[in-house]
Amino acid sequence: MTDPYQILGVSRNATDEQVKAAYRALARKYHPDNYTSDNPLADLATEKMKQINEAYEQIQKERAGGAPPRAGGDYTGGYTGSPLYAEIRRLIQTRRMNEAEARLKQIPPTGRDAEWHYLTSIILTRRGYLSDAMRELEIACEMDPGNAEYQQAKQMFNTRAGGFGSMYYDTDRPTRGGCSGSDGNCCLQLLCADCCCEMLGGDLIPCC
Amino acid sequence: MFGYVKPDKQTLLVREYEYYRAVYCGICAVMRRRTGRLSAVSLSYDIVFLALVRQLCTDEKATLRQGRCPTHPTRRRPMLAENPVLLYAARLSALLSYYKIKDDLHDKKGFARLGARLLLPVFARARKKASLPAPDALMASRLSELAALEAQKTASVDEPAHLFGTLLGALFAHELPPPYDRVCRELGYHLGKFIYAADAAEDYGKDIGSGSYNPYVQLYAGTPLTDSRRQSIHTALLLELEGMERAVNLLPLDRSQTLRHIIENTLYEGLPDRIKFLRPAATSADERTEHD
Repeated sequence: MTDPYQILGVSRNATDEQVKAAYRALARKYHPDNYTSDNPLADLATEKMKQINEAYEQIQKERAGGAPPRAGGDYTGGYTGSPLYAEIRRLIQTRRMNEAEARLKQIPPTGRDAEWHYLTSIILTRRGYLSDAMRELEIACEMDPGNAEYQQAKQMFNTRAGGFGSMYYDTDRPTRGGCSGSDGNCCLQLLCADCCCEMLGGDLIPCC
Repeated sequence: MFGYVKPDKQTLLVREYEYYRAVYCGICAVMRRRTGRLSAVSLSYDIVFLALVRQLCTDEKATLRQGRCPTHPTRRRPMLAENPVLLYAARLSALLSYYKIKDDLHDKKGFARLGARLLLPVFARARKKASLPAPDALMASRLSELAALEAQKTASVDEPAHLFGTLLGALFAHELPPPYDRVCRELGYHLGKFIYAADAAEDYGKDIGSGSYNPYVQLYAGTPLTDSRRQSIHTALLLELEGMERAVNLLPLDRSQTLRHIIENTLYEGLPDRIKFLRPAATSADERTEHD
């Protein structure tokens, strides 16, 4: 096996804290949440993650320390609405996207309300059609401005996009600060993104 | 759609910038030699980025040599010597330019059209010399599918962007060793989608006037783009870059620090910079005072 220190990118005489920090940064980068089953490169990321975990465990064994941190948790929200939409939501949650889309398409254009556009945006998101998904979400928000769920979904997209490249911008490279306005606040944004994801009732965005 | 993908010069290290330029000059020299002297004028930054990524994936030998070029005849400058990566990039560049000019002949009017007519024979020859049959056939079929979607005035950004993305993904991945063919296909896919959508967003106002097809004009029915709409478009585009980031993280980045930094700089500085016109007005005003 290759040198575990090299895999984590730290020197042999790094402190336990430095090893842990390097491990955490890499684990965040290649975490399965970033590469869900929808991502065609998921297996490569899993392989990479395995290497990182093994390297960390080996170092820990050598040095005798605490166990690597694990986090997780599922959330399924309750929903009260029309039975047809409830059915479509159920299909979406069980990842039967084609069936869900077919149901939505059966609804004639005149009957397409905010909820219709919202659910369409979820399906488009799953397909990776994010530009179209954002447009549908916008229409949903415009039709029903008071709906907290739609607003939250939009906010979640924005927050997640705000976190783009946070690891890169956090390092001391000579950047011009491209982190969508709020520099130095990226970790907080990532945390927010995490929380918002879970509020969305399961898996709108497969990242959390 | 050309010249979109480049690093931010100001935040590159000097040696990284010099390496970047050596790759640029290297491809240009290969084009002059292989696809025709005139064809080399069309070399774009996008192709250079493709070459950098493929160089990292193949780990081909990259030798620097001192060479002259006709545009700067007085000074010799460092350039990468020809290798399979540069050769493919040069051929692809000729091929892309041919299709671009053919497209211009169809779309443009006035001087641009005249220019395209004059240049077409040059690039028809360059395309023949490039002799990349599989990418050529793929490009022809994808671009005609794209033209059909555009003729229907499809009210979707992602449908045409998806087509363009699959094309770019295939061009990035072409004959690379596994697993990097898959990584590059994914990388090129998201980059292609980003380029298509960002380009359309940038032309929004112009295309309302000219009546040319623009997916955003179809989606927003030509109504003004409010700040909140811009924000939505910006968000979707950043998330496309996030898809690209996930592929970039799986490149063999530890093979070369220089290549790694140029690629990451392009992803985190160069590309977001292309869409900063979509950021809310207040932010871009701050930026301006900060940098001037």
